[in-house]
Amino acid sequence: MKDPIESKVNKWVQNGESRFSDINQRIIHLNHWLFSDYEPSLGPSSNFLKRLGNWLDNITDEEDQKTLFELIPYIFYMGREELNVLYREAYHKVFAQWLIDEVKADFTSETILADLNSEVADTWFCPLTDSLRINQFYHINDIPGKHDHRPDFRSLRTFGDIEKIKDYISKSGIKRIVLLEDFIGNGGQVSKAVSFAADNLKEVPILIIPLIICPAGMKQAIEFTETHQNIKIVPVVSIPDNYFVHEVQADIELDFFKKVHVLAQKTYSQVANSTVIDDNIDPYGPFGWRRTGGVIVMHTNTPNNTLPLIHNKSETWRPLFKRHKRV
Amino acid sequence: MAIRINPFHELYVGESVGPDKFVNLFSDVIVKHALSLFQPGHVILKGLPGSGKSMLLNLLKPSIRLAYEKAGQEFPVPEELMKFIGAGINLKRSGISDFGQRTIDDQQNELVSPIYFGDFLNYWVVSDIFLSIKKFSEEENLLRKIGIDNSKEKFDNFAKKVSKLNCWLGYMDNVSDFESLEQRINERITNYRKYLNYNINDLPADIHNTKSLIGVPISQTVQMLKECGVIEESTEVYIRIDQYEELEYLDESSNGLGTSYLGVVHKLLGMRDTNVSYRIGSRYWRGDELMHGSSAILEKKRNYTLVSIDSVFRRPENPRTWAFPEFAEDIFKRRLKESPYKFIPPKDSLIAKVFGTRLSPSDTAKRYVPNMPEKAIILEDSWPDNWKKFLADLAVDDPFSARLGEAWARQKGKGDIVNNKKIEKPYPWENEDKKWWKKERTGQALMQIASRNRQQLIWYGKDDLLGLSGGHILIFLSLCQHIWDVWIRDKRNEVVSTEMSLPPIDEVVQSAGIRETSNDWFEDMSNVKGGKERKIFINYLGTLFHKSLVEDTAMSYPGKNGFSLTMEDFQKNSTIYDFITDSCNYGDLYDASHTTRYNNKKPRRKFYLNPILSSYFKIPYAHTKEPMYIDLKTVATWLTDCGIFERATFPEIFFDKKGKAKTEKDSQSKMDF
Repeated sequence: MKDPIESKVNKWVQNGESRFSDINQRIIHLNHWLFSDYEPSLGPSSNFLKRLGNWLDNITDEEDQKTLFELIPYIFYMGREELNVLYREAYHKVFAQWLIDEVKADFTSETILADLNSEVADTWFCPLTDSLRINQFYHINDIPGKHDHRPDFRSLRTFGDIEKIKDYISKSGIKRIVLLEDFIGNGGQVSKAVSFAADNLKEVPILIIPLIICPAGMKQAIEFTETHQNIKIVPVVSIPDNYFVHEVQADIELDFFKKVHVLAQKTYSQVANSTVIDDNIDPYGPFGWRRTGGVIVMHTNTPNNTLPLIHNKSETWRPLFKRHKRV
Repeated sequence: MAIRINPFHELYVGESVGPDKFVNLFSDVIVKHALSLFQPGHVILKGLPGSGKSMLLNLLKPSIRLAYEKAGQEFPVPEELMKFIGAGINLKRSGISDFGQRTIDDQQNELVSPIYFGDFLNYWVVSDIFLSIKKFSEEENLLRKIGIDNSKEKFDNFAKKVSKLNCWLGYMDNVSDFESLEQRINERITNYRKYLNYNINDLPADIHNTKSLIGVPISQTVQMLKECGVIEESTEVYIRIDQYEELEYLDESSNGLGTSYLGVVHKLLGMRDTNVSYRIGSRYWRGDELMHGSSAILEKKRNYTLVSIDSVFRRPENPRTWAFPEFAEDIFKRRLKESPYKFIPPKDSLIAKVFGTRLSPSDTAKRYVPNMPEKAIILEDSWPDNWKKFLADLAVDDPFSARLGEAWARQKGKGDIVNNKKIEKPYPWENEDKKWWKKERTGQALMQIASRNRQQLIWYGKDDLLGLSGGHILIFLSLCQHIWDVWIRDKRNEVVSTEMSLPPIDEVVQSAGIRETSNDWFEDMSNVKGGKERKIFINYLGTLFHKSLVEDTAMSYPGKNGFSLTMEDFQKNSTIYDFITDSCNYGDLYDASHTTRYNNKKPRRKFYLNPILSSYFKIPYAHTKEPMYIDLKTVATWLTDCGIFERATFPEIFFDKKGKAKTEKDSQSKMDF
């Protein structure tokens, strides 16, 4: 055999570890249907299997290579189509339920559909940060484009004039605001934007819909809504606590993740090309930002609280899904 | 840019390719084993899914006959048997399964529904006979060969006469010519479809009042076609009924009606009609089929001829008479000819050219112990040092021979060899007079060497591919498909040359492809009716066989990859009989009768796993020596051990008349090797 991945797999299988044949086939399938749309790699290194070969060859220990290989099907990859489904779910389920409760919809009324459509038109859908593609959300759900401006609230907080925003809300007849975010890890990046909206726009009800949220973000969301009555936060997908490679090996962790945990620590100096582990310096330690240990990859980018061994590029490490960094 | 394609990407071509491609892909090798299909008399064509039934039945279709004619290729049926018209029904595609989705009579549906089913079948087949005759009009030459006069006068005269026959019970009274006859038939079929799909509230009254007897309109139509000179007296009419087993699936959705519909089809065969001959393609045929409305059983030879493709291609005791290699070779060549790969067919075997032939057992053993050959053997502490040294030295040069030597020393009556001061070539286990002893233990020795070194078994080469296919062409093609897939994956980083030559595929790639095929085959077992339970049983058996073969260090029982039951035991309990028979009908187990080694001469049946599962369970596929001789209680114990049945299901086996559990002393349970 000549292909480096096939050779490795064949060797492992031949030595009695037949599960690698199944894992290999799953990876081939995932590559075909899912991994090929990873945007940060669409340019120079679009071939996932080549990246996979390089990724495995970062390390020489064969047992560690097996752990990396086995990790791939565990990656929670959110492809283009999957994200579209979340857009639909956010609108048709989360928003719809909230709206029905908000307006106390009367389903015995003959005009209920027209009434609800009118309420939709009076809703302002905006992104929390620029990582959510708000146009895509509008298009997929065929939302009438009554409101021309759909700014992200993170930018508004920095550059916006709150009086002008209030004025726009008033003149446009906006009765409620829905703020969307594609991914919330710990909530750090979005917390200020959420506070900005909650503190300054108290007169309008606000629904925040994270398409995907991690346990730390969810915890913070619950705490936040307890002190801000005009805010409701309802995620579409809430990732369970046991789907993380915890910094302290926890009982709730999947058995396989305990192996990944060891590997993440063992390889970190090579991943970061640094012997220093500093939670404040990118890539923020073996388990990523705030020691989250995520295995989440969005087709648009990989969050920084995902394990750095998956996404970090350094002089001594070639990543599987290279993260596009803001700086 | 050229890309490497997999010539075996599409496994089933019997039903999916057009007639023109069919001509190139069909292997005529199969025809000589199924000549009954082209001779008068009813025929049951039995074979596992993908065994080639539909391919064969396709030869009866006019479109295929025409394609051969247009391509200028010889129709692959002996000339003296070519004068026939084929028509028929595919029970899956005709929508006949819709009979399971709506009752026809709320009060007595179970009684009347089979009558309507038979009526629908009659009209469909008659309609298809007409379509076939008209189809042949495209080729004057064929009309002559088959003996068809397609003049309008003949057709109209026929229509007038046939419509007056009593078999229609007045439904055709207003027919004036052939066109109106066809219209009337199509109207009836359409009304059935409309009703079964809930588009109309009831069937029209003229259907309720004119239900025909199964088979009679078909027979009388053909007779009238001959009387009116539309077809010649000597032209045979063969009616295909494909996907027969579809009807059984209706049992669950329609309260046992599937069985009644099967009885209707059986009645067609029971008619012993000389006007038409039926050809039924089915995955199984039990041999005790009842005819609808009667307790009469169809009788083989009297009512029908049984052609089993599985039996034709399954490996016989004498491998020289095995028909499958020729069939596989032909199919393989045809598939590759249809692909972009360029090659000059070799004189002997194209399969061997691509996949090579097997290495010797000695060379194979060396692959299992590349670094530590001494791990091929296990030495007993009690053995003299001289013998231990001899075996250890031998293992370095020839681990396979050393493993045989180890087994030799462990066998009854042969153990004295350990005391020999000097052992010279040829070693006793390699003597010419012991060649069968060696041959029978080759597979077991290799699997033990692999197992002791935690290695997967290596499978490759023409012999392994044919052996693992077990005479089933779908498995052979599936193996080729997977191997080709692995090969393409292995070459994915290499640029493809525009002129693609046929590659030799190395044994590592083959072995990986074979493992994937075997895994898939095992996983897919549960996707068919009753498959979940059978998969559990097969897993139990495979694990048992593997353990037995590995732990038998003396290699005294190399036949432990199968089991044997007396026919008396096999047929004693209907639950066990049905379960094992189903396992055979679905191709999970392979069965064959065999001669007992006991003096009682009781007839026995032996059972093996489908050979393709050998890779999954890491056991040899070859059937050597005697299988495990077991009794009914052992099978019942296996089935209860793996949780498929409760012990209470077999009270007569596990409990005495007072309901107490039988003791080992009471029972005859034994596993005799």
